[in-house]
Amino acid sequence: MSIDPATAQDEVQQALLDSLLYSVSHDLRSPLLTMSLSAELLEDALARAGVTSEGGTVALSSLRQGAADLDRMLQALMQISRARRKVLEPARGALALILGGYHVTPEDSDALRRVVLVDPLHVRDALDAVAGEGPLAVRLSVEGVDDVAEGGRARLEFEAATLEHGPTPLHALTGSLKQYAGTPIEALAFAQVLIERQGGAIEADAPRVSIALPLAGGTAS
Amino acid sequence: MPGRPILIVDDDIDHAVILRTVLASVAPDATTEVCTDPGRMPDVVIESATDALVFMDRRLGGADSIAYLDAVREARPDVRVVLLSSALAEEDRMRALDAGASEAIEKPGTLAEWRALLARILGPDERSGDAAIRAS
Repeated sequence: MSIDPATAQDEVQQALLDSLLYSVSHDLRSPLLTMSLSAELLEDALARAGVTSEGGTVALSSLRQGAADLDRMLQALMQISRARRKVLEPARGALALILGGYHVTPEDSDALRRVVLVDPLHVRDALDAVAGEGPLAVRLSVEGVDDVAEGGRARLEFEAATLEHGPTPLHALTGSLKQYAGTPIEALAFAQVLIERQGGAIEADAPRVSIALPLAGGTAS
Repeated sequence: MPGRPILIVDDDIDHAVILRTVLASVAPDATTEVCTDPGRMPDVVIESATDALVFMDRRLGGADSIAYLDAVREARPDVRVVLLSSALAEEDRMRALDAGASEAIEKPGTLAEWRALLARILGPDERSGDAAIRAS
C-alpha cells in the first residue's frame, strides 16, 4: 500500500499544528498563573503590612486585568485544542431533540423527524451558547434526503448577534481572540471543529450562521 | 491531633511555593513537604509519610505524571494523590481518576479559588496538625 506524499505531508502539518496549539494553550497558562497569583499574594502582603500606594494599587489592578484577559484567550485556544484532540464515537440524534425549545421554522413538516450523524450535544451546546437566556429563531431545511449516502444535509440557520467576521466562527475566533474569546462565538468555533470532524460544516455570513449536518437515512419515530 | 502530612510535588518552583503559601493560610498547622525534583518520582511519593496527602503536578520534567499513579497505588494505597494541572482535559481527568488519583483538578486562577479548593480537599479535620513546614 502506498501513501500519497501530499496526504502524508498534510498529516504531518496537522500533527505539528495540534502540537503547537497544545503547547501554546497549555504551557503558557502555567507562567500566567504564577504572575496572577503572585500579584494577589503581593497585594495581600502589602495590605497586611499596612502599605498603601495609589500607584501600586493601580499597577496590581492592571496586572490582574491583563492576566485575566490573557487567561480568557488561552482558555479559548485550549478549547480548540481539546476539540481537535477529543475522541469521538459514532453518534446520531433526531433534529427534534437537538432543536427542542427553540423557535424552529422547518422547510417541510418532516424535517424535524430527520436524524443527523453527529453528537446532538455538540450542536445543542453551540445553540445554547448563542441563545443565552433569550429566544433563538432557527430556520431548518434539508437537502439530498433521497440519497443520504451522496451528501444529504440538514441545514440550521440562525443569527449570532456578536459575530462580525467570517467565513466561519473558527476564522473569527482565531482572527481576533481579544474580541471573541469567552463569547458565544468561541462555543460556535468549538462546535465547528467537532462537527466538521463528524462530516458537517459551519459557515458564517455575519451575523448569519449556517450549520450543515450529515443526514442519516430514514426518520425518527 | 495532627492532620494528614502533606507533600507537594511540582517541578515549577513558583507554583510549589504559591501552593505551600496558600496551604499555610488554610491549614497553618499542617506538616508540608515540597519536592521540585522530577528525578525523585515516583520514589518521593512512595516513601512519603503514612496517610500522606500528595498534591502532584500533571507534568513533571516534561513527563506525564499520570503514568506514576499505578505504581503509587500499588505500593502505597494509604496515600491520597490529588493531581493538579495548569490545563486539564476531561479525558485526562478521567484517566487520572482511573489510575488512582483521588481527584484531578485544573489549577485555580485566583487565591480565593485556591483557598476554597484546599479547604474542601483538606476538610475540617485536616486543617490542623504539626507546625513544621519543611522544604527539601
